[in-house]
Amino acid sequence: MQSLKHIFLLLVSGLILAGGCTKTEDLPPLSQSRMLSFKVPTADGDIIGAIDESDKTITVYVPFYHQFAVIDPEIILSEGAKLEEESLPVNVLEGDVQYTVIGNDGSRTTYSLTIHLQQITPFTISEPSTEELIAKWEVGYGMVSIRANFNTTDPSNITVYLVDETGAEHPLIPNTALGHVGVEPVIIGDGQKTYSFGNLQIPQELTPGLYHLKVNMLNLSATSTYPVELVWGKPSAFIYAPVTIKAGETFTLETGSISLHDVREVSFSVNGGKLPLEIVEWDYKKVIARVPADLAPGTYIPSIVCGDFEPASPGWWGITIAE
Amino acid sequence: MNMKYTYFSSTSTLLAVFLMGTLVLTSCSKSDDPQPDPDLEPGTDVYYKLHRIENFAVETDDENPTQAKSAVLFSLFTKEEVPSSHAKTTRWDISFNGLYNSFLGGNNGSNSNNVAYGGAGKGGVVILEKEFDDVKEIPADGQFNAKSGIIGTDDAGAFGEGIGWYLYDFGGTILGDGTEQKEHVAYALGSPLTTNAGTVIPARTIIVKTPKGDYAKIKMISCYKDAFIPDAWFKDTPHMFFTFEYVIVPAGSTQFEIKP
Repeated sequence: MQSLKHIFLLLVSGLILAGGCTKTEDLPPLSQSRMLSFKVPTADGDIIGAIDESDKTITVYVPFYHQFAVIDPEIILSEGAKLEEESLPVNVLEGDVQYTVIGNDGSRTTYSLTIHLQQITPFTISEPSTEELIAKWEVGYGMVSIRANFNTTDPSNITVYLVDETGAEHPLIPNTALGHVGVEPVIIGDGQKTYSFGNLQIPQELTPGLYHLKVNMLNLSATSTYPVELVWGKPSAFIYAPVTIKAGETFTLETGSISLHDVREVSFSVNGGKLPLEIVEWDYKKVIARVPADLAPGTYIPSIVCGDFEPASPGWWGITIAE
Repeated sequence: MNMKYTYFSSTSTLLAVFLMGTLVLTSCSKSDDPQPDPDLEPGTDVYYKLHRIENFAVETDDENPTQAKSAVLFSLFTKEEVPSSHAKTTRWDISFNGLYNSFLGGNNGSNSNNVAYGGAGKGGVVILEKEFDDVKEIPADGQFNAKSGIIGTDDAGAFGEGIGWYLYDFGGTILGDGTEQKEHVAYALGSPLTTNAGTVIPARTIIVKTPKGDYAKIKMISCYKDAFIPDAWFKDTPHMFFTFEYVIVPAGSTQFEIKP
């Protein structure tokens, strides 16, 4: 009797097992074109993307402190599956990125990526001007620094513009002639921490007038309430280019900073006096002048006069007139 | 009797459940450990081979010699320039920074002075006073410098910053003949050079740890277009066109070797 009971129980167990396995096999097969994992490697671990199989979406939250302009995800797919197109770095401001997974069985599943760039708001810039006092910047000036709560030291994510009265945007240029152009944290008067981005150069081709300051940083943007005024200035920095020419030939004097305007005079200093030269042509960047055909050989320091400003000169290098 | 039956019944049930569980686990389970898509990894056919890049051009502006351009990024695997927007990815191995983009560095996301800062790169560079062919052993990880723009002008020339991959002959008198065309020439130190004063400057070899942990040794040959020997380098020879040779070995290697 005992033996029969054992046999009976084993048979029942077997039937249950058989039934259980059969039921698992009856389930619809899993898709072979699934995205199993989506992660973004960083210096301090991975950012994990949330894959939602119900609506086929991938959601990634990218904290501001990573300072990423793009993310380069590592994607894991179902066994044997592959992406229809190569996975490339994705701009964090990109709004419409899709991944189509092609399964081993030929099935296809398309996932949509959403990137949430987590930045600290509001984004505010320090106003150069006030309601009472409009800041004056010289056209071509190359040491502009912008202060704002950038919360980044990566200048590549920041663009600064001057916006003219027509709405046209003129980007300021990183001025590497003065060294590294970067973003540095600074403590301002009230003990608060902010960031300074410089040195930037005002485009030399701009003309005087009122401009608003606009700063873009990834998906944030801020525009000054009050404009700055661009004005002409006295050229102060010339590009180092000593040349050797013969009497009667021309040379070029080029400004590396403040723009040229209304060039009224180009001259050499000779024996304590001034020798005016022929101005062949000029624009905001350079002036071409011709030396007299009878000028004695030697090295002469040139200078120019723009508008009503005092003469400007490279000061320490000159134009050599050869024999 | 009743007690005995009850005992027997419980044991059988437990046995059945145990068996069932075991069978279910062994017959119906399946290993689902995901593996990275192998297509995402760089090709391995680049390992243990001598590669040569000729005339890799970066933008140069001789009219503004003191204004550094943006860093240029290069992949030793694809042999192509990588967009600067991808700086914080592991898709590039060496960067060309600074004046004339002549200062080299690796890809390291943990160093705030690296253009890859924040990214997953774990690379660096180190330079050895040794000929390319003689560099066999891979330096210890601690010897790699993680900053960008760290290897450039050599102390043997003007504006030297330590051991560099090139000698800058400002006046054209260290290695040149003193003529104007030999001024401002950058002499790559991939091979030993002898100065006019008779000093032999040993060859330099750059070792790169890539962001994914592989290792490369690099011989810098020239920064002048289609000119690969010092006699062909002049002030007005088109530049910067980098020519270099390299070998890559996979992460975990201790030796550089070339395999047929």
